[in-house]
Amino acid sequence: MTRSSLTTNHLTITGSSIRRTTIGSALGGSKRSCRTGATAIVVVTLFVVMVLFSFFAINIANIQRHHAASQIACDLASRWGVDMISRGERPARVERQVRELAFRNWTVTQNLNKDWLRENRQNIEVNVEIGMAQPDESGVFTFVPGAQPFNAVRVDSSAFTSVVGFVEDGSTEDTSILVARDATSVALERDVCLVIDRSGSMTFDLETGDWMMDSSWHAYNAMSNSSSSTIQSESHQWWWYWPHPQRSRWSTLIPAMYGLADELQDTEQKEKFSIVSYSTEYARKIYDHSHQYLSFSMDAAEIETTPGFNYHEQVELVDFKYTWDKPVMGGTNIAAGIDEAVAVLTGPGARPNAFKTMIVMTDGQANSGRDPIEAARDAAQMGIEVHTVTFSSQADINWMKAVAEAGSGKHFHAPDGDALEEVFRRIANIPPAALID
Amino acid sequence: MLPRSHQNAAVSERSVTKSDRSNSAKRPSRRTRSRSTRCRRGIEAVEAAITLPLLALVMFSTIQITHRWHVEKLLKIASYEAIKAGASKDGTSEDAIRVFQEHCEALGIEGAVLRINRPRFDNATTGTYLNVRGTAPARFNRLPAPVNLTLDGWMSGGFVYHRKEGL
Repeated sequence: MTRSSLTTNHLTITGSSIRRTTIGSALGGSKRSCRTGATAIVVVTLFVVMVLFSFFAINIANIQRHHAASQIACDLASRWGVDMISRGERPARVERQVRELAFRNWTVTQNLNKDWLRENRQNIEVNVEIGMAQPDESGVFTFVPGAQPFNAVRVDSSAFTSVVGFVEDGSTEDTSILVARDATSVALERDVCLVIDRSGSMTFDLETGDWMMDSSWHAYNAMSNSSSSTIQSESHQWWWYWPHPQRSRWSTLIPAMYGLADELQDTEQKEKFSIVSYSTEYARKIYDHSHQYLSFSMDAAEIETTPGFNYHEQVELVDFKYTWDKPVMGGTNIAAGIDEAVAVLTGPGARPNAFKTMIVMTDGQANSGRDPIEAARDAAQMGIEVHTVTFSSQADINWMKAVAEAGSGKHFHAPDGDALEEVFRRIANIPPAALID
Repeated sequence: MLPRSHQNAAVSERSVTKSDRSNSAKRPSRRTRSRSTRCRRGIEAVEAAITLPLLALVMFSTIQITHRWHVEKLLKIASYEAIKAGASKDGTSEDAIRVFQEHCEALGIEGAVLRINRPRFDNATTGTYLNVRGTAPARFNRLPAPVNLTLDGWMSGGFVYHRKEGL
């Protein structure tokens, strides 16, 4: 007989009070006492599991929150870096400011106060790399640090964030986890299409809005001077005025287009440029400057120049064409211009990986074709950014704002020629920055 | 050979074991069993009354805290989109607010307000530090629960900083 069996005997014989103790009940007491203890154990176990689950859920939520905020810090910093690079800032200055911006957003993310920062600044790491990113044939960008010309900035940052539910033994690693994020922004190549209005209102006086023809050159003189009775009898079909070379809206558009060409030449990126014009479809018989009888027709939208790098030549072509060859006349079918520009920007002359921008200029309001808002929305769905420019006081600003919004672009208003050139120059400088990583 | 005292104990063990067997063979009366069940149920009810509220407290606290952080994360993302729009070259405060509201609407956040610190986007020169903070009232955006365990007031996505862009 063993000692334990003797002990058991003794307990059984001598005391029923043993049954009242929890341990005794759990190990070998009666059914009633046993169940009472078991419930408590189950509840305690469940409570511990719930608390552990809570810690797990809270930590996951906290980490997710910090990841999102950290990503935002990297994105904004790299975006600012590309903005600085595009403005020709020195790399050292770019790096310093990008680091500072990322650090500031990190600080906010971690809810850190100044005292903590002073002591623990080294816990946050922000690395900034400046280089070049180019897309391969499939459109995937590869970033090469240090490669020139600089067109991309990469920001890589990390910091420890605290977690709950772990015993703190004084070391950072036990109560914190590392949150690391990075972002790369690149200034993309751009294909730019200028969509100009050649409706009859472009011959109006810029200030008064009245007809402003060049009486020495307009075709009406040719018709009235003609000895042909046929021409005179049909003269109502043939009126056509050349835009005034100084005071008409058209004449102020041309210098602004030259300004745009200058600015595109000066930007860091190499844009492919093209020009589309629009009014409404028409057919006319007219006399040209040399009193030659002409019969011709124009579509609602015409491709004036195909995508290329000869910016000034393209503007000269348009300038010559509408000064010597074709009339500025017809209604305003803005949607036709947008659709034609989409065809140009997605056609064979455009670069498939380039960022695509359309600048839609008008001096009036659409009175033909479908709603330009729908056209802009279609363009945006094809990845084309549609900026709109209203020119003169007679333009429908609110409508064109809506068009720009539908086209994920911006709206600008220019009351006169100088302002129009300024707007064109500004749009040429909008950097098509994009996050590629 | 065991000592005498141990022999006696062995004898007693045998007799007690037999006695226990005979006792266990006896079924408790219906009355006794009924009293025992009632007692057990009472104890369990007391234990449950103490522990279930605690478990509910832990569970609802966890859900509400994590949901609050989730809403704050969404506010941060909306603030990020807003400051991008407002800090661009021609961006205005109105642009920032419009973008913020659009994102909050899409994300299902109600009553959200974008707080723009000075200087305003419109007048800022290139490189000026700007910051915004997206907030939303907690009472419109918390999950329905028997007890509100999170604080009232405003949920905040925290500050987002950016510089006024030049191009």
